Amino acid sequence: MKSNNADNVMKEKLGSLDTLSGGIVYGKEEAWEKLQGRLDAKPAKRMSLKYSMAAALLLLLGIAGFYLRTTEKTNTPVQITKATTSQQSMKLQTAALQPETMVVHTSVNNNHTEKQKRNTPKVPHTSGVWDTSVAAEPKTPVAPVVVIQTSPAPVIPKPTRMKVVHINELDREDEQQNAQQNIAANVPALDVSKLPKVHINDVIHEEDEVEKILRENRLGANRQFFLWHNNNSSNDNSGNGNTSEYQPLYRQRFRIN
Amino acid sequence: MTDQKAIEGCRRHDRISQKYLFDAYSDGMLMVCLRYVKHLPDAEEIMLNGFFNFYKSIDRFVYSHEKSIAGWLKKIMVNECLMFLRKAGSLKIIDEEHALEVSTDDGQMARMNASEIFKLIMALPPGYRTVFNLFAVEGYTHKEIAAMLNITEGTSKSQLNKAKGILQRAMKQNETYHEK
Repeated sequence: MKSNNADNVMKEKLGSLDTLSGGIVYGKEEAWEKLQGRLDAKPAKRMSLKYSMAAALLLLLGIAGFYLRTTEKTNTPVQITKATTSQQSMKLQTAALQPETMVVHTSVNNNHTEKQKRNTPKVPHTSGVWDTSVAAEPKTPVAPVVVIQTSPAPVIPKPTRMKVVHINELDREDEQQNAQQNIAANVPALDVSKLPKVHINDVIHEEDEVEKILRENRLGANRQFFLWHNNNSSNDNSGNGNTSEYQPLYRQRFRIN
Repeated sequence: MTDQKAIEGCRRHDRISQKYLFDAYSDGMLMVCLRYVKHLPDAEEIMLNGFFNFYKSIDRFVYSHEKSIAGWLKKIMVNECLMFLRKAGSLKIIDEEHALEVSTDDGQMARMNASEIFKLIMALPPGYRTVFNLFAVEGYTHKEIAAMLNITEGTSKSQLNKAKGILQRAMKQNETYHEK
């Protein structure tokens, strides 16, 4: 009771202390200016409801799109399991082009684990049938299995180096005949007029020159057919009374020397 | 201009009305803030925050009588002060369940003027001062104080009694000083 009275006395006294007691000085006008500045200050703009809703919608769409894209990727088989004969032939063709082609088969587990892809070129799915059984039964938890089938390395026939021999070196007559027949059948007829015309004095190393002409014209075996010189049209210095109309050029030269 | 008209003006964001209320109540509210916060700049800042909140929440205020504005403003100021003290970490009061009863001398209190009592209160430690102000001056119960300061009722009582004991000793010293 005594205490309550004391509290009441104190309350009354302090309640009467509305004015500043001695010694307390503060700038009232300055404080008012400060407060006025705060009252005049515009509140920070908040994003309107419309904008926030639109942003949220966009974010949701983005997340949904990303999710769908990832699930689509995980459900898509990389390679058809059973290949038809036409696909096999196609595989062989691609294998021939790129010897290390690998065909990757993947099975998908429920957790949408990322598939392993080899850095091989994808075989086109033009005539293939997708193996949808993989995507159809997603509930059984299956560990990801990657089966890699490597196609056999393509057999590229190595060009066998054959010994080049003169037709005269062939021992048997039938071989020579066959060779001549092959030459007649495969080597195009020579148009002599198209051959470069060189004065004989300009030919320093006739053998080299002949080889060059042969190489340029891709003539291998028929040198005998064009390296003839018309003896009638030129002076025969040899004086050996050769009556043949054409003489091989190099022979003629050889004789001169 | 009367207080009621000023309140109506404040609702229309009339600057003259706002200024009128500020001039009428700012001194008293600064004293309230100073009872909780010792330093004048802090008290001034709290008082400005309080007035700012008062003008912003003026639509919720119902003018019933003359003292209603002062009461409303005082509540705002006290809340602001408590917020400030919490932020400053001055309201970390250790729980004390055993409160010693301190007898106060009414005669001593009566002999002292308001300014002297105010100075003594300002000299109290923050925890004691806050509980004392809330209980003895603002009139809150210990239950309310416990909820406001997040302490137990026993601690509130203990803090109050200790504050009273300090004040008692200070008053005695003050009296002997005056007698000399």
